[in-house]
Amino acid sequence: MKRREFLKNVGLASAATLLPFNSGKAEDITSMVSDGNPDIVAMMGGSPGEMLKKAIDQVGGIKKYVKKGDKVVLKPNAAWDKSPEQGANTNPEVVATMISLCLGAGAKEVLVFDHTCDNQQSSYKNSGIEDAVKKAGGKMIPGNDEALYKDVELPKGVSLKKAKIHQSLIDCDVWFNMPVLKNHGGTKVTVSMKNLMGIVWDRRAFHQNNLHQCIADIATFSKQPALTIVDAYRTLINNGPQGRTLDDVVETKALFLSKDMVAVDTAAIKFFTQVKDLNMDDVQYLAMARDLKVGRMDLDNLNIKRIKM
Amino acid sequence: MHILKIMRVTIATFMIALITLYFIDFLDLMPEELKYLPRIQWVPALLMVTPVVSVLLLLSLLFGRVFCSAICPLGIFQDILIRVSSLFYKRRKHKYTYQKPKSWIRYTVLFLTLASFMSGTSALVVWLDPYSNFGRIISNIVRPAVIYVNNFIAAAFIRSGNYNTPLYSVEITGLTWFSSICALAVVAVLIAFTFKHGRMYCNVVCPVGTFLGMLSKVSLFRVKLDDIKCTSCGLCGMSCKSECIDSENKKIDETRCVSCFNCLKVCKKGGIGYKFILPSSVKTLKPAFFSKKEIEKKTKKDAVDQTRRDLIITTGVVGGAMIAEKLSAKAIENDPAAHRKPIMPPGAQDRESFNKSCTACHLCITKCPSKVLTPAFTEYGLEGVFEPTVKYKNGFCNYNCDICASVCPTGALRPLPIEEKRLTKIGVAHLRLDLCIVTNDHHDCGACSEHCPTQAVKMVPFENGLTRPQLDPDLCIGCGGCEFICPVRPFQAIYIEGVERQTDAKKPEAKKIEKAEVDDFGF
Repeated sequence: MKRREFLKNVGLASAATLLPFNSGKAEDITSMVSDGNPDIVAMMGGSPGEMLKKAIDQVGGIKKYVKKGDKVVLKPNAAWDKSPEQGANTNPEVVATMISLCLGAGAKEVLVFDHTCDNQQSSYKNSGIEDAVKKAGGKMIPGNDEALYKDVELPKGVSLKKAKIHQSLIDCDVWFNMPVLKNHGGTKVTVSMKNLMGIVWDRRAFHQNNLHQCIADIATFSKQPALTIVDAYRTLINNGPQGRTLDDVVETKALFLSKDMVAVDTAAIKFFTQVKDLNMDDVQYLAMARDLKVGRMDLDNLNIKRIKM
Repeated sequence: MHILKIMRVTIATFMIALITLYFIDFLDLMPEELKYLPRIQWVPALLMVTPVVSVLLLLSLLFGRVFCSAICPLGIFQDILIRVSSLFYKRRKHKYTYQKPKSWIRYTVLFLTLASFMSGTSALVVWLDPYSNFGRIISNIVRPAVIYVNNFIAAAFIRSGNYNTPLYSVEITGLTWFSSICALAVVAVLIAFTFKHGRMYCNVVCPVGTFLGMLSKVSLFRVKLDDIKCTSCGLCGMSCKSECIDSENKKIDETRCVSCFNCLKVCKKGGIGYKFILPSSVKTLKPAFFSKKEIEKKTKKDAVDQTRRDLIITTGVVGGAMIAEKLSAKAIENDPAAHRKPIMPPGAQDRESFNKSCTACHLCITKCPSKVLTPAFTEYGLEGVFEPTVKYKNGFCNYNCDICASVCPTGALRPLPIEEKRLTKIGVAHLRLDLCIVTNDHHDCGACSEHCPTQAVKMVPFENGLTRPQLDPDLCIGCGGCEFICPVRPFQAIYIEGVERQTDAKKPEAKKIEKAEVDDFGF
């Protein structure tokens, strides 16, 4: 029996070494080399725009990320035909402020899109994002046409080996992931990695092939966002991701920023557990993405800058 | 050109251009107010019972069938066909010649249409109403063609990475083969008619035309030949696309005159005019119209021809329909959801009133931003062919949208205030947990609940921290978000079944949550 067990263990162990996340070859996707800036900036108490400006100052200012003449893309959550007060989409003020910052740093253009769940025109319009983008000098581009999406290989993906990703992300110089923090019936909570379902064409494939794993897989997309900015000014805590009434929303007045999607999601979800009971382990995509070296969950070992305004 | 003709052409051009653009408007650029244009059409106005009916009635009693020439889009469309055909086929002299009226066909069609409508089926109205036929021609043939070209250009821009285009590509939806082929067949028939006999459709088939013909016999203004000045040269008759001027006998069949005024400009002798005629002179006109005996022979022959044609067309259509139905039935016979009831658009209230008042103009189908409306085949039975039905293949019914009901010109869809629409139950979901991804793959999903605006589908704890959908049918309004997004194939684990009568769903309970004050980061 012992020998059999031994052989079994050897077999399992060797098999495990064949799995990509144990191969030792995989590099961290997010550059975790400390540049002296905080790994996560957490803001509370200010207006959405003020918090964003101050947070970006903490990580070296916008010019560190956007160079003169850059083509910039922002990916907010604009998936639902809901008003800004309903907390289902990214706060338009955060998006507008980001556009102003990018243009101020000399960006050539700032494009904004989402592959919406509700009808695109009404989602763009009623989320208040289209208006805010226009006023700030950016451009809202369509996301509802398969012709806009290009095949991208995801070699590090486990369930999802390739996906069709919006070409603006492939063509741009730099992009920013700008999710909203909210409750989600399927994945319990949605932040930055779940927001990436709006950069792909075929969302059904995610639901068909282990949703959590696919979310972790899409987060391995080699062109990582320069920064992830989590809007938590209004937090939808029930009936997410679209919510029913304003009763589902808590005004939490927060914003989180990081280069690391796993870290910022972990932080944001911890923040979320203050307003809604949640078992962090049930948000399986966090650990899955960590195992794929997308980022870190060990907040205790990270340099976190907390600012209350 | 005669001033009256200039007026007619100007109004007609505006009318058809606006209606056509309104139907095609897939970029949503036209003003919403254009929805009132279809409402001044005879059949929609009659069905909706609006004051417009009295205005239209008065118009005909005063000026004859000006409606047919300046307001009816199908009439104007035929004038365009006539124009186009004259480009290809220039006849030297005889353009049109006087034809005897095909009275018994037209009155039979009118009678049957009315009688069948009274007995509760709108099938004939659907097939014969000129406005609805025009609507179907635009929405089933012209609109998709325009969108196709738009998409081609938009794709070229977008592929080159140029987002500075006002064009974006739009999915071509709301079509069925049957509906498009029938619309094409109508165009073919109109081309054949107009090529030889001008407005023959309006004077043989169209029940509205026949009805207005009866009115225009007594209208105050009519085109009339002058007994003295007219030399019976026949020029006016050749220009008459209704083929209703018998200049030899100096008689005009007013029931067929569509007041196009083409004849007025060709007469150099002042032998024809648009004149004020007192109703008292009606009697003198009557014999001319009712002298059937002398024309009986020809009518009979024409009628036989026409009947034969009708028979062939009907056989073709019904036969085609039966084959198509057989084929589609075969493809879906294994689908447990195949035998579900059809879903009516919001505002339809109940099957009977909806099927009766809908003329299948397809305006709602073209306006639906969520692309869920499509022409029915036999879902509603034979009487509801072409009428809009809801399918969740390309999208789901937007919770905040009531466009279909607000544009419906016939009142088949009753306008719904948005609060009411959000409660209107157009169908009800059926959840098949045995097919659900969470049950079978033990993975989180929640796509259905994610898309459910009323949270009739709610995620509840299942096992190992997973959540699985749970359905409260009372809350469900049948919007189809769940069915559309459900990733399970070949058959979705949740689908919507239509209802016979649309009722109000239970209002979602507002659960007041503790407005928790958060003053720390929590990490």
